[in-house]
Amino acid sequence: MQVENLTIDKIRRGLDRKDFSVVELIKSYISRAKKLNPKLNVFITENFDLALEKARQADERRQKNEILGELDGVPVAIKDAICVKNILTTAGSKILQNYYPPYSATVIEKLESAGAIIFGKTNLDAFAHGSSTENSDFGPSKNPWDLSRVPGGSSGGSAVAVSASLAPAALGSDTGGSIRLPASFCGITGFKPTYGAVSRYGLIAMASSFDQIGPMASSAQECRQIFEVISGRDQRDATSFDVKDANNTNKKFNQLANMTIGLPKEYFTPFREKSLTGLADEIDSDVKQVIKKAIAILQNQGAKIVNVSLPNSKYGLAVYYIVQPTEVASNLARYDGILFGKTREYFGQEAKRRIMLGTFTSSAGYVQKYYHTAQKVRELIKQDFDKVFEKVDMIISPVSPTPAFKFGEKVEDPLKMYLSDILTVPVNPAGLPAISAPAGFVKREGKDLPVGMQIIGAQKADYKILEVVEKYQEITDWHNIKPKVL
Amino acid sequence: MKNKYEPIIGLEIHAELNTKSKMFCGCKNDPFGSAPNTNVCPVCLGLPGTLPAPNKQAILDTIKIGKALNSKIAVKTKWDRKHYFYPDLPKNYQISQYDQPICEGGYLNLPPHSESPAIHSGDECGNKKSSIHKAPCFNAGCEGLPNGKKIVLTRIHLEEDTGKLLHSAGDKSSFIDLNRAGAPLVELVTEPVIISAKQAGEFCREYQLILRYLGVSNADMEKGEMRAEVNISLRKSEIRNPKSETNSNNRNPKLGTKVEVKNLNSFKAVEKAIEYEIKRQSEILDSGGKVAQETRGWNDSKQKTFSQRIKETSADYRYFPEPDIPPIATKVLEKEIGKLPELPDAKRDKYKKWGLEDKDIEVIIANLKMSDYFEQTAYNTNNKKILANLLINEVSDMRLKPNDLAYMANVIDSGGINRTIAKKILEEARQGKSIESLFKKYQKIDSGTDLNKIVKKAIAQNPDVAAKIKAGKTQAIAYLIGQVMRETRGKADAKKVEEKIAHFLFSIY
Repeated sequence: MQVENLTIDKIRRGLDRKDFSVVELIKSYISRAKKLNPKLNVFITENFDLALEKARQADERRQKNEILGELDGVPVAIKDAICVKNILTTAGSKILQNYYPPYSATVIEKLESAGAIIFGKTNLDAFAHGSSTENSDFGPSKNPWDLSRVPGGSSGGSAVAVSASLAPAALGSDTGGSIRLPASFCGITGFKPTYGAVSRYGLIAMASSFDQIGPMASSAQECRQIFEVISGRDQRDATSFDVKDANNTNKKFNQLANMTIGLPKEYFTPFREKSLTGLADEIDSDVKQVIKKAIAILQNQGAKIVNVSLPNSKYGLAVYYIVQPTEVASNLARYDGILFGKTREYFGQEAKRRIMLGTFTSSAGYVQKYYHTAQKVRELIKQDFDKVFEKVDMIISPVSPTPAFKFGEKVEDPLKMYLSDILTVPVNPAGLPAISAPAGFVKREGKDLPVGMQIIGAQKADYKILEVVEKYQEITDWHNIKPKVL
Repeated sequence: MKNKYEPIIGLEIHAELNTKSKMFCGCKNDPFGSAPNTNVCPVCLGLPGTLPAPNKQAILDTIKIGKALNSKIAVKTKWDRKHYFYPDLPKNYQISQYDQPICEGGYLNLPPHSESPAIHSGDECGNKKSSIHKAPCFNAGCEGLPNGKKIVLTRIHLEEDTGKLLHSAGDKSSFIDLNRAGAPLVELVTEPVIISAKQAGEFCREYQLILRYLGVSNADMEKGEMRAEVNISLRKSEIRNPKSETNSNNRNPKLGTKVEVKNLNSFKAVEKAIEYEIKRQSEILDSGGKVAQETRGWNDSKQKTFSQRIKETSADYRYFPEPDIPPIATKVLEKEIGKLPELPDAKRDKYKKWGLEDKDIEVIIANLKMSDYFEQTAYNTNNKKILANLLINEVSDMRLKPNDLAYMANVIDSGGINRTIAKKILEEARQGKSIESLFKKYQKIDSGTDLNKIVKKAIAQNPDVAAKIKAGKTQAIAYLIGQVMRETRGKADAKKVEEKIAHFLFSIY
């Protein structure tokens, strides 16, 4: 059977009609993965044997009419920063190359109890430090649209898995854009929920106050289906809560005509001075054109477009690169060679860089100047968004200033690499939900490369922005266009 | 002769809470009773991906301690990460509290029997109304702090304990037991206001009692459930005039170099270490030397402190707010705490009113079980002093039913039995015999007619002695009493026997 272009809904309908069994489905994904994984380097760990066993159990459930839900029998690829009990979990780092967690992350427990099948553990920049998967200790993943280009990161393996149809859906994690950027580069839909909407228990921490697990799939509808399963308050994560409780998410947003969408001028209008933080200065003009077309489509559907301003977003990257390394240095302190075997020499360049930075920004005499000042600016960025969301339902922008870049293009210059996240990063300090959804293509060296638009919502407006993108995807086809990799 | 130097001492005391589960996970909180590394889980092992979920009971217990010690309970509290590398600290940071502890300030009243030097703490000595002061002061007139019995606290906060390292002497290997890792640990910090080894010891003892009366910690120092660190410096004593109007002139603000003594695991060790340090530092200063700022350990067998680490700069723990735990509205939790149990201070007052002597009060209060037992008994007893006496001297094992002890105390109080027999009855009653049957057995001899017969017999058998007594040699009565006692095998009340002899010899009929 063909697994290309399968979606969660198509799988469910096929299983319901008995077009195929779960075992057949999983076998087909396995044979495709076996062909493509060597080419694309998606999985650090293939979980195929166990997946087949789970498939048999799923078929038995179907026979007994004990289907667990929409995801029953659906294979899901898991970013290797998320712990799965007794399955190698490396976070992309050699430090954990022999680490088999004795417990599963909350999201894994939830997926499994909904019948989803853990298909494999996907590649990422080590400890999620990066925007290209080039920092993975297990080699980079390849962009299925152009194998000489990066898939984006850090959840690059998950994005490639979905884009190249090695799995219909995947989990990623987003600290500064790690779901949205690879989703944009690979032409899929990636959703970063409100901070706290999905339990982080079992996600190997990058920067704890930014990290958020989220779904990656072809469409926003599938992202919503997975989000419904994995979200909710978890006793084991004190920062988690139930977004369904929020009164602004129960409404149905069937009409784009009722929507007001904000266009932040800082993301579109070039600054006069050339500066690193002049957001719009960095955006390729054809990328901007793609987003403008998407805006026009939304406008045609009746959405009201208004200009807004997020003056402090230009400090987003600066804030992020002070607070994040502070937390990184702390979170990585436990890898001391005692419990996990490998000493700190096994940290890669980027981890070492962030440990150095973060140790400095939190050390006595500097913590006020850097960490605490950054936290104050973080509050200002958040207030900017709060103010704007009094007037608009959501904000639109590009996901990244450029389409997927070439291997080696930025890896030697960390600052350049950090700038790939310039449009996604401000969302994380504010803890907001945001989606990256395919909005078109640009040409580079004769090849079509996907471009994503970013829809940012207010705190807990997760379902609202998901539904808007679902509407958008009903009238556009970008998300259905798949790369030819075989 | 006046001492040349006066010590300024601050205490840091860690106490392990006795909650069922650990501070941030569901593991059994039992650092001492289990085989190594059995009460552990991914969270307290600090495995990748785990998160701390705070233990509400531990927070409530800390608020209780704060309330018992007159602290200000924070409206909102938060957690911070304290970073240092050590093999017994799985995450290589400890979740602690930095700038928003659960309890701020407060004070502990030392017990009245304590012989603390007459010095007290005060911000400014002119501030006679305020009872809580920060720095030591030397004005005897400060009303807020009579007799130096109030020890001012800086703060009380909650954190997670570390694991334990076990070093093998033979094969150069070390072992890590993480049963204790993540146990809830309360740290109390005093202001530098303690001025003697004895006072420090008294503080520790009283704090231990309060923890036990609150029921929040067993606070056994030998088990490491309570651990003390001492900060001590010396400064030159100055001749002060206690009547002088202001304190600013008679205060010597210059504190000496601070030395920290760690790992003190008994009250004696706290006192001995301070005494040793006072002597050691005095000798250094006398010889014109400089006291080094350092951390010292205590060698119990040598009764000496020894240098562990010279502190040239203060350790940088790189504190920053714990991002995994949102701030907690402590004030809201405070409402969940009902009335605190009766604390040692209140019990002292109560027992004093009941007529107990200070010495006995302290013996009873020092033992929570005994104090509970005493009170159960006391409500059925008229003479609580007799009761306390019996409890302390005869039945301190508390194996007697409270009602039986109360009965006994009442009988003694009404003169119905003598101490010797009481002692015998109590002894047998503790072995499980019913107190009523014992009273029947022993008191029979005491009851009127039987004793009368024996006394009459003794007089009849010793007519010469009787004659002597009648002739005025009253001391001869002792011989007759002795005869009666021999006959009754000591069961008779000597006083009653004497009365009866006199009655029979001198009565008209």
